[in-house]
Formats: sequence, C-alpha cells, structure tokens
Amino acid sequence: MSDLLLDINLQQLPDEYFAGYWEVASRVLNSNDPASPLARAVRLLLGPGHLETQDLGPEAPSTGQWAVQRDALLSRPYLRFDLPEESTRALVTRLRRSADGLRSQLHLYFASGMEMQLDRV
Amino acid sequence: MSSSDSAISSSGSSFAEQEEFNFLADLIPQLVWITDAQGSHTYFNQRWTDFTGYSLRDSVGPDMWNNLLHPDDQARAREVWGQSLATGTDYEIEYRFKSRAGDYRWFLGQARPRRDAAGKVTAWFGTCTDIQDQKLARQALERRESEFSTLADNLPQLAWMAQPDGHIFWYNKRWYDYTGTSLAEMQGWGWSKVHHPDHVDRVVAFVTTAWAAGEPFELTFPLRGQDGEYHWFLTRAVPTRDAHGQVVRWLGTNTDVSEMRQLQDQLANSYADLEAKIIFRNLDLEHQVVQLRQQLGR
Repeated sequence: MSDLLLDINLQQLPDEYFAGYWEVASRVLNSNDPASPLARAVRLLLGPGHLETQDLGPEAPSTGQWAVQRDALLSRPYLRFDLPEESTRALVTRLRRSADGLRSQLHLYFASGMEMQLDRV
Repeated sequence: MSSSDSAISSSGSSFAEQEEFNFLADLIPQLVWITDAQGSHTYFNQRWTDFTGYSLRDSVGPDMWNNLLHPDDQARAREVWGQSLATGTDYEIEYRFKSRAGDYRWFLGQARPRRDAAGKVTAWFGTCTDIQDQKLARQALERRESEFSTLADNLPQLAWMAQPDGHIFWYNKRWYDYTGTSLAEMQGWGWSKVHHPDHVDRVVAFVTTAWAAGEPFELTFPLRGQDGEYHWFLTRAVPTRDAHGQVVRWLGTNTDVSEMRQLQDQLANSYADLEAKIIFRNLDLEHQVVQLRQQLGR
C-alpha cells in the first residue's frame, strides 16, 4: 500500500468521500467550548445521514445528523453537524486520500475557530 | 668538441658530402642522432653535445642516453625504444632530457629505421625536438581545464554549454548525476528526452526563439531525474560573444526550484484557506452583503 496521500480537488469532491469512521488525529480548540461533544470526540462516525461522536468518557456516544453542504460563495464544501448538545458547521480545508482510497486525511475548520484533523480508521 | 668528431664513416661518401651533412645537421633546431641497428649511437650533432654536455666519445654503451633522461621517463623510454628496435617500427616518445646545466627540458623524440635492399634495418636516424614551451603550455591548459571541470562539476546547479544555434555540446557532472543520462543521449537537442511531456513543446518553442534572439533568457520547467521524479528548474542562459559581437556559445545553468515552488504553492494555499475561512465564519453576513448589492443593483 502506498503511503502517499494525494490532495483531492475540493471543488470536485464526491460526498461519499466523507462517509465512514474517522479518528481525531489533532485538534486546536481556539474559542470552541472544550466541553462540547465535538471538542471532546476522539472518533466520529459519519454514516448515511447519521452522526455519532465517541469520547474517552463513560458516557454513551452522542448521536445526531450530518450533511455535506455547498455555498456559491465558497470554493469548497462544508459539513453541517447537528447533535442534541450543539449544532455547528465545519469548512473542509483539505482532504487527502491514498490512490486506493483506503487511507484519508480530512482537515476541518469549524465556525467556532476549532481546527481538527481526522484520519480514516 | 665539434661535430667533426662524430662524422659519419660512410665508406662511399665524400668529405664534401660529410661536411654538408654536418652543416645541415648542426643547422636544424633539433638534436640529431644516428644509431646502428642495435641501437648504439654512432652520431650526435653539435646541438646534442651543446645541450647535454656529452660528445659521442662520452656516450659509449646502448643505455648512456637513457641515463640522461628524467628518472620518471627512463623505464618508459627504454621500453618504447626497445620495442622499435625489436620490430623496426618508427619511434616516437615525449621525455625529459637533462641539460648540461642540470635542469630538464621536454623533447619529442622521433626516429625512423634505414633499411638495406633486403629490408634489414641498418641504422636508425633520430631527432629530439625541444617541446618544453608547448609542453608547459599544454600542462597549464590541462590544469586550467581540470580546475574548470572541478568548478563546473561541483556547482550546485546543472550546467551546460551550447553552440550559437543551441546545439548543446557539454553538460557538467551534476546534469548526468541528476538525469542519469550520457552526452551521447543528451548532445544537440537530446535534452528534450528528460522534459515533461506537458511542457516540452512550450520549452522547445521558447528556446528556438531565444537562440535566434541571442539575448540572455530565463525559463522554468520540470526535468525528469533518474529516479523518474520531476523537479522544477529555473534555467538561466547567457550568450558569450567574440570581438565582433557574434555569439560564439551559450552558457546555461538549471537551478532546482522545486522547494521554492512548493513553498510558493503552500503560501498560495494558505492565503486561499485563510480567505475561505474568513468567508465561512462570516457566511451569513457575506450573503447579506450579496443581497444588499443585488438590491442596490450593483
């Protein structure tokens, strides 16, 4: 398997590239509430219309919805996250994939300023 | 001692002929010598005696001349001379002879055998031509060439030289190390083989015009390394001209600017990201601005 990850053109990005299990590889909170589910998540499941965040605590996963959205003013898509505790959106700043599609790296920039790197599990 | 001591004892030659031979042999600027078929000297002209300080009488023995050579040249000279004596082939060698003052000078030694009617070698006629100045000039040139090669091969850039029409005839070692090619493959317009297929037409069109214009030029393009990967290079070429202003050759360098281009790309991406982030964080406001502009007819 190649270690090389290739940048995907964000203007021609299929929605299905976002689906699946993602691990939080790094995060910068900035002004984001550190207690929010997304700020504490170590794993995200982006299923068909279904969102699940897992953290290291004993609580049950937080579940909700997510969607890929696009805006004429933006040259790239953003993701909308709706959880019982918070609703937010995150701009896709970078998506990198291996040639075989087995490995991916997703960079998100949240409306709160939080930045997150997710790696495909 | 005069050369009359060493006059040829040819049974058929008259005294006048011998005088003429001696006059001619002493006139020419070379050291002149004759040996018998076995290589023992039978004659040296006056210049030999003047230069070495030895007359024919002092030079008995087949190896005497060899002792006058620079120690580093003695074995080689003995071998080459021995080969000619054994085979009857012409003799030619460069070596250093010791002068009577004790210093050495470079000579070109040449000899040709004289044969009888049956083809048997009867004597060898030889000359030693002083090539000290040419030799030193050649050595100086070789030193300069070596220094140039050292400099050119250790430049951080790929470098090349071309004829006025752009026919490249020289590359430095770094070019070959990077591309994994040879001069045979690369000379002339062979360089196009290591260009990226998406860029080669643009490059060929540009340089074809540039060669004809005869002015310095710069161009950036990717070149394939021997690992198959392409790196971006900035090419700079300057023409050198003769006293009449005619281009005599082109000197060129290719500087690897891949890292710089990557940094430029990263910087451009960072700016694009920053702009997108600002719009994203103010998306609702941005939409309101757009609506307002539309309402205002702008």
